[in-house]
Amino acid sequence: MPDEMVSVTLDGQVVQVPKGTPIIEALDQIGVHIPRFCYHSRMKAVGVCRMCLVEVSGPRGFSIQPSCYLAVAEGMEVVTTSEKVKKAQSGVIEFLLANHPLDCPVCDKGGECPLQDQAFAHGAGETRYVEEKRHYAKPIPISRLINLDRERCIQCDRCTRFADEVAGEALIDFRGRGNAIRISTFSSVEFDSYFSGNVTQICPVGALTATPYRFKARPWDLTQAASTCGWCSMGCQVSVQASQNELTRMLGIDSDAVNHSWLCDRGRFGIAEVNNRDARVLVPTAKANGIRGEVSWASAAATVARLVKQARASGGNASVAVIGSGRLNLEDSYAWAKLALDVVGTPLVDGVLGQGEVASTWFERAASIDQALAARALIALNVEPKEEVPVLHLRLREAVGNGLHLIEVNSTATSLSPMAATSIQLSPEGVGGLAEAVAASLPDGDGDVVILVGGRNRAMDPAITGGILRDLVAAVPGARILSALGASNVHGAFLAGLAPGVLPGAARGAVPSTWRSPADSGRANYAGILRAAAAGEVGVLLLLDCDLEEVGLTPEAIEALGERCALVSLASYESATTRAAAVTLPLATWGEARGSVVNGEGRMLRLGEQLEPAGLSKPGWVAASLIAGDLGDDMSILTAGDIWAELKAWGGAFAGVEPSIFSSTLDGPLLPVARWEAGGAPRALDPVATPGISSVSRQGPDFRAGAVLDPYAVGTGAAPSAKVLASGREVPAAVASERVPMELGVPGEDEAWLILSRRVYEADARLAANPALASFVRGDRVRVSPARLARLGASDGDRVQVVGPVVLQAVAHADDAIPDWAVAVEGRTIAVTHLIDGAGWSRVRLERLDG
Amino acid sequence: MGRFEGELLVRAEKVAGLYPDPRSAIIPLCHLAQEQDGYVTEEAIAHIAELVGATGAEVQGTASFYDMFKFEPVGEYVIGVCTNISCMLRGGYGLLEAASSTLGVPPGETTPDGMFTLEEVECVAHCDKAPAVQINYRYFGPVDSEGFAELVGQLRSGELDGQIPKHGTLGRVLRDAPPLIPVEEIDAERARQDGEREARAASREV
Ligand code: SF4
Ligand code: SF4
Ligand code: FES
Ligand code: FES
Repeated sequence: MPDEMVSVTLDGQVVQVPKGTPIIEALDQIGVHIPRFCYHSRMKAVGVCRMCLVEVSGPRGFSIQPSCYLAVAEGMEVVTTSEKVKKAQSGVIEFLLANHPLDCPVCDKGGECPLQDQAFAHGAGETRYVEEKRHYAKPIPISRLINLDRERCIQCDRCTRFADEVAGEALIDFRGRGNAIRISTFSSVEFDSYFSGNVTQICPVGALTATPYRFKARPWDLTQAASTCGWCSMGCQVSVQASQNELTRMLGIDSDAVNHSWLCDRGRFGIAEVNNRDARVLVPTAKANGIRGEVSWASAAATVARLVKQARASGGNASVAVIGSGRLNLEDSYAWAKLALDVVGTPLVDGVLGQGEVASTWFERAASIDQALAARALIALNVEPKEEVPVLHLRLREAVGNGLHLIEVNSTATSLSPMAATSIQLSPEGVGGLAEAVAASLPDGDGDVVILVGGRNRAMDPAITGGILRDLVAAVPGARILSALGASNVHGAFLAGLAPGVLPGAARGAVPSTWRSPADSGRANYAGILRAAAAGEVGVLLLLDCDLEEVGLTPEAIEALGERCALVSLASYESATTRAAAVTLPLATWGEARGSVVNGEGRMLRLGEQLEPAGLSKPGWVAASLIAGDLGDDMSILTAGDIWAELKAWGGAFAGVEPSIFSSTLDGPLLPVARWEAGGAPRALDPVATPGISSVSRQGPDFRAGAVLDPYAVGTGAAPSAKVLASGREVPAAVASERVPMELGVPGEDEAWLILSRRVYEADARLAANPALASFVRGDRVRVSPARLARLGASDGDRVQVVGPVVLQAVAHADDAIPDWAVAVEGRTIAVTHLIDGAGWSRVRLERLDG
Repeated sequence: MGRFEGELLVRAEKVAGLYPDPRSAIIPLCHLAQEQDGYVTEEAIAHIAELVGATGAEVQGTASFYDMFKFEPVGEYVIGVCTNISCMLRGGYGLLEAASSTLGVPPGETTPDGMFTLEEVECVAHCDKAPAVQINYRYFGPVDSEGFAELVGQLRSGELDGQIPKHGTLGRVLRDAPPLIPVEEIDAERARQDGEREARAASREV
């Protein structure tokens, strides 16, 4: 239904605007910018700062009204330029400055501060106040990440509204009244929220600042690039800003389709690990007689090529295997897929850590985030968005508030549970009938049903989730899927062909002429590859930004694996894997290379570049191309543009992908491009909503659509035309067709099923390298049902050990929310993943520790 | 002390249950906490937050708007001397000075024996008897310096005990409210009245 339009006169201009539009937005649309502080287009209007006063006609003539708080009405007349308006606005500025300290020279916001800018534009220039200003202790930490300077606060209610309304964690609020009002936490309760960084972005003054950015830079010294957060598959749109070859901060861009300007702290403060050179792999190394030594790129690539040749000579193509983590960007994934499948010809490729089955069900039915949130019902399967794709949690909260019907299918309660209309337990016994139960709980009505699928329980093989997902798709005809699978580009890796059973583009058509004869990779996932490697069947294991500790191997096991086969680690961060590898290749990481990723809705998004790659790091596709050259086949990939041309030639998901695609839209296109309806109208960024972006962009390209420099505009040759191979060989259909039933087995008397929930702050090598976030890793925690604890003869608070492939000793907590069949474990280090036993759903024994 | 216990906890839960949205009980519960401890302790704030499903920051934010909630220990008698216009014209500032020297503490402080807290307050709506003094929210006026000294003496000797309960005394009469606000009934009654009104309007039009 089209919005009802009303006719209003804005500064003499008669315009039609949808009924209910706030006056300030109507004015924005005709290019009249009204000064503002509290108004933020992603939050409810409160009308508290009074900065946006304009004259509005009413039954009793014109009166001064806040334009953010009043909606347009038929026949309304608005005047923004009168003396009365100017006096009112300058009066408000004078009031706001009455208590505002003269901190600009030492304030992080200086140079991009809406108060500074609007005081210049609308203030009187001189103060009439001689009285002493209000004083508070200078910045106090309200969390490990956020500092609060109460003197600078103008009480706009943005941070508190964000915490309460958007994040649902009202850990900060106003305190006191009148002159003494200030933002405050309660007692010693820290403002500990995954989303805390957003308040520093929306605070229109320097009252809330991010500790890692404090005194780091002046906005006019920064450069920036539009990019996509590199941590999870939400694909939040960001501005990454740098100074002197160091990332200084990351700000959320208001992308309508994706993140609504919000970021989570894991993403926002993730730049600290990129800057941490001590933790990075800086130079290629090779092991000689067990000692790791620095080598040149040429010799490292030659060594890898030699190892590959040797392995193929002795064990055939299948003695070379590739495991990736889903973090390589699209271009790198594609180049490695081509190297593995076509140049080396190995069938052992898993760049998505076993999530290929879920991904293959996903892509054909991919739903966009907007579609998922507007669905008749959203089924959340094995997912906790807050821990896996945090910003989706914010969008979900909003959607549920607007009436979204949520059905949750998880093993234990999550942050979704309070929002869910129905919660269905995902238990090892119930896997079979689950889809029917979920289908039966769907509400009647029209409209899509969307399944949100994730990888919450790491102790449960993704293949189980994949099986349930297929059942669900069968039980709910027409259901679409939004994926929340972990790593930033797991979907891109799948679509690039770096996963079992797919070829680039997930295409089923002809193989383009730039390829020879790709191997059929539909055989093994990473677990199978690791088993084969452990059995000595693999000569070279190529690890692409993949730390084997994250998939459950102990450092000793990795060490032992390194003796069985040659490990080649392409990595940005030092880890147990790089230390055990025969050859380590330094990989340019996030912010160091242009490229693209594909998020969980199948949207292709750009990665920007702000740094020189650390040390001798190179983009992953360059490494692939070097190795290919040494194998006697340069893959004809000389620029990233070549990769795009090949992707387009593959078609499928990439049909119609042009290098100019990022120039025509702020939000990237949904893949395949045909699925993507609107090109996304150019949108003016509100400089007060996210101050840091408009001020910095004065030095660089503008982020509006059409004004973005496109990464591949130069140096792109004509796309090679697709041609069917002489043999006319058809590409194999995706592996999804044949279903292997997942045998879960029966747990022993004293055994329980393991629940190892994914969390935002996973203690992996990257988080350990992050000085800003490392302290957020929670301690070891084991939770079991009171009944199980009682059977063990233990009680709440006793020490226990969880016995699996390794033994974890920790304090046990009795928790009613944990089902009796389970043991839930959270860990201080990545070592908890070593409890994963590699069977479908890991089982552990719980033992009581005496004393 | 701090958290509600025993009979007070029963009372607190009952108060929280009175409202369709338990958060509406924040203010009454803060009163209860103040009656218990003489001021609203952090422990009480945390407990109230649990009882009504809010965060500590929200309860603290709501309560700290009101001057009559204290967040630090105060004396047994909280004495407010008004210096707003009517009282000022009738000697309010002089009275405040006298009060301060009688008690030996400046406004805003508590006597060392913990008996009195002196406050300078804005109009307490006792202007017709200016200058006004408020003791534990009971009114006196007009008061001059001798009268003030006399009041303090009476408070010390316990003469006024019957009239002025000590601050933080569980002195409130628990009102007998229905167990839950009958929202449905109210809505139905409203709908009925609306209907009648519409019917009347319709009959007028005819
Ligand atoms: S701290 Fe900043 S965002 Fe929060 S109320 Fe003050 S000025 Fe507004
Ligand atoms: S939700 Fe994911 S993509 Fe968005 S900021 Fe957080 S980590 Fe980055
Ligand atoms: S009152 Fe309108 S922007 Fe603050
Ligand atoms: S002015 Fe003092 S009571 Fe009103």
